[in-house]
Amino acid sequence: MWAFIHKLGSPKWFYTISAKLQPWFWAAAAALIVTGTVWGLAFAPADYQQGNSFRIIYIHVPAAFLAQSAFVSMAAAGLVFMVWKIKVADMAATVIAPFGAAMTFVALFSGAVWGVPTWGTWWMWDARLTSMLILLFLYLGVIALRGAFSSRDSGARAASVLAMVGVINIPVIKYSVDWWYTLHQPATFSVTSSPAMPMSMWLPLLIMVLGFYSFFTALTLMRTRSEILRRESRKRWVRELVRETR
Amino acid sequence: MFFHTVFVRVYLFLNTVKGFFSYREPLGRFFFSEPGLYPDGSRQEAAAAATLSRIPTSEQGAFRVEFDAPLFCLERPLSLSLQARKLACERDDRQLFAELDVDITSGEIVRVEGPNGCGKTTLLKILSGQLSDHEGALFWNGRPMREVREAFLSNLLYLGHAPGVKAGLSPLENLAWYQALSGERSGENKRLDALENVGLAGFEDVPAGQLSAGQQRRIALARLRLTPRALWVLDEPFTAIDRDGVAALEATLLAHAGAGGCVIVTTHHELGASTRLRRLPLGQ
Amino acid sequence: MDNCMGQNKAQENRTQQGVTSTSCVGVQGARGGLSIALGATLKRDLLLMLRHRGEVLNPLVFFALVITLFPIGISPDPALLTRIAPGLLWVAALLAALLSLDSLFRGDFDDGSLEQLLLAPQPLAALSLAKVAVHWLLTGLPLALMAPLLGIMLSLPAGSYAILALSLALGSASLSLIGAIGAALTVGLARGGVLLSLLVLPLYIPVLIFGAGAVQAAIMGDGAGAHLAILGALLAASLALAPWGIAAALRISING
Repeated sequence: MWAFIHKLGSPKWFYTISAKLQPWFWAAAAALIVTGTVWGLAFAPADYQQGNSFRIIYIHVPAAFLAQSAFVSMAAAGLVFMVWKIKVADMAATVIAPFGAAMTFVALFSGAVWGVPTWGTWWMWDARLTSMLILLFLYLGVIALRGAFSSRDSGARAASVLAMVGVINIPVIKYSVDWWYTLHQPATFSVTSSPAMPMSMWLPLLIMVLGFYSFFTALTLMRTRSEILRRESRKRWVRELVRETR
Repeated sequence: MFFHTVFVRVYLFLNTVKGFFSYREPLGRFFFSEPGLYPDGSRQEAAAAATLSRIPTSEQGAFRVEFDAPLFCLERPLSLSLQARKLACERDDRQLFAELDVDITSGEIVRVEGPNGCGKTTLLKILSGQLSDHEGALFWNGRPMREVREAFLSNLLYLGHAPGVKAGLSPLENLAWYQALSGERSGENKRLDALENVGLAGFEDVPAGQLSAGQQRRIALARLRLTPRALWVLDEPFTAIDRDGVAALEATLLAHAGAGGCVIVTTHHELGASTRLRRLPLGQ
Repeated sequence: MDNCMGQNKAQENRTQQGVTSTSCVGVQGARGGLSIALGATLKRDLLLMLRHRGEVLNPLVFFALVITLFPIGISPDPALLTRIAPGLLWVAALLAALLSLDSLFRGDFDDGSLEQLLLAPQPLAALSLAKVAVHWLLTGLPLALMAPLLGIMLSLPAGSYAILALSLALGSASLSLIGAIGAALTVGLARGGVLLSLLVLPLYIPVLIFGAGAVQAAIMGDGAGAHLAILGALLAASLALAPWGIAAALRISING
């Protein structure tokens, strides 16, 4: 187990093993997302209240899930980097941050678009949207902090600490925002907490969520690999690799 | 057997986590404090005489009598050692040094030498336990640094590029903070003595911001006399010091080494020849 | 006089031997060493801040100024001001506390004291807690005491002044603790000030919600006990966790 972790920590080993894993995740992501999209947009029944506009859920919810999971995995990678000094973990955290921010933005944007038919306005201070907005700021903070350091190592460590502080705070923020929202707008219709979704609507959503997660894993592997090549470009194994591929 | 392995793993993990937060519990003082060196008022004079007699006469002659060199006594003079094994430091893909072994024992002055930007300050920061992102291991008196960090720190005096002097406080107040940081109850006489020693008598209550750069530097140097620490790590201590001060400081370093302490120093000032002086070239 | 003479004589004696201060190289850190170090750090920081009174007064003036801007920018209508006063007061106080946060470790970083603080043979988390305590005493607490005064100007109902001050006093302590992590992370950066607010403001939101909520509840007559209890819980949590974060962040920043 221990040896495994340290082996995983070696960039070269990670580079070779991820090359084998990557295609499977890409394939799974493509299959799941295509199935989910077609099923969700064409075959799932329309919502009795919202009509067809509810179908935006198939983008909004997976993106929102991923936005939160990406933050948690970024913090976990930060912890691994800080405790075991495994550089690959930091490379992963580096590439997860912009992706997570992008997913948060997608969730926010799709939420806003959804708001037009539902609330008649682009933006409501809905609890879910507000927490998403705060999450976006947290992502931007982590990215900005990493970039602000002239030394990459210090930037990496600072970003890890901030990600961990953020991950402790996310539940607190989420619950306080929920509480704040119920206090101020007690009777507003909330989009996603509609009770008991029928199976025919729920199943494509599950498929989409799984597809998004596979996409996230595949993309993270791919971008971590290029980050490894970039950072280890002076190491002998990378040079040999480059020579071989020429 | 299985549970034993699990237990060991958990223990190791917790230790790693502990090391990461650098949390030092109060109990650690009992377990990890060094048995080697104790302040012992009653035996001071005898020990001082003994250490003085160990200093070669040529060096004794190098003291200027009016300079008032401090003398530290060690109960077990040879128990002091700082070792670094296979140090390697890389700063953003630039290798500063690799496979560096450093051995420092009682009575030595080690001068770290090398051109600008070769990592002298970084090495000093690593040796004083400030930087953790390096490879290799540090040992204080033969024990891993992580275990004895607190004991090490209470034996360490580090002077960096910045003097660590608050402009808004008087020299006396500045020293009071340093005295308290090492856990000592305030002793104003000691502080006055230390300030007098570095030629700041009469400036005790002037805000440090109104003093010259050299004088501020001298406040920092007064710490050498203030709290007795075995290991001095000095980064360019001669900066902004006038000629008399340089000679005095040099004698202080020799006296400290002579009394069984050790000194690690970077400087562009050429130190006088001494058997205690050792050079550690970097950047080759 | 006698004492002085004695000292001189002793000095002469020692000079003859070529030795003045005879002391032993030894291990400090006897029991109680930490409390001495903590006391001295508190005293030093208080002294420094009191010698630079401007740094203590600036956040207060800023607070008053921002509160003055709102009636001018929105409307002087007392009914409207009453409604938005709790939020305004809390947001303005939060920003004022944020303003002074950047200087929390910056002075120590610039003059090298921070390195020495890190090398003290005492737990860094405890020492940094002392610094944060001073920040709260000279920023959060004065802001809390001043807020009722500005509450009058925003025609806040009379019954809520005590709750306003109490919620601000409790909340600003959490703000100082959380903010200190951000300050410690950005202290090594040349232009850390703006970045600091980007890092810290999202983390302030729970405190803001319950702080402003407490005042709102007091106005409504609902009783602010629950809000204050949650603010207390947030403070307890940040007291337990933030010092480790601050210590870890300071170690990173000192690495450059």
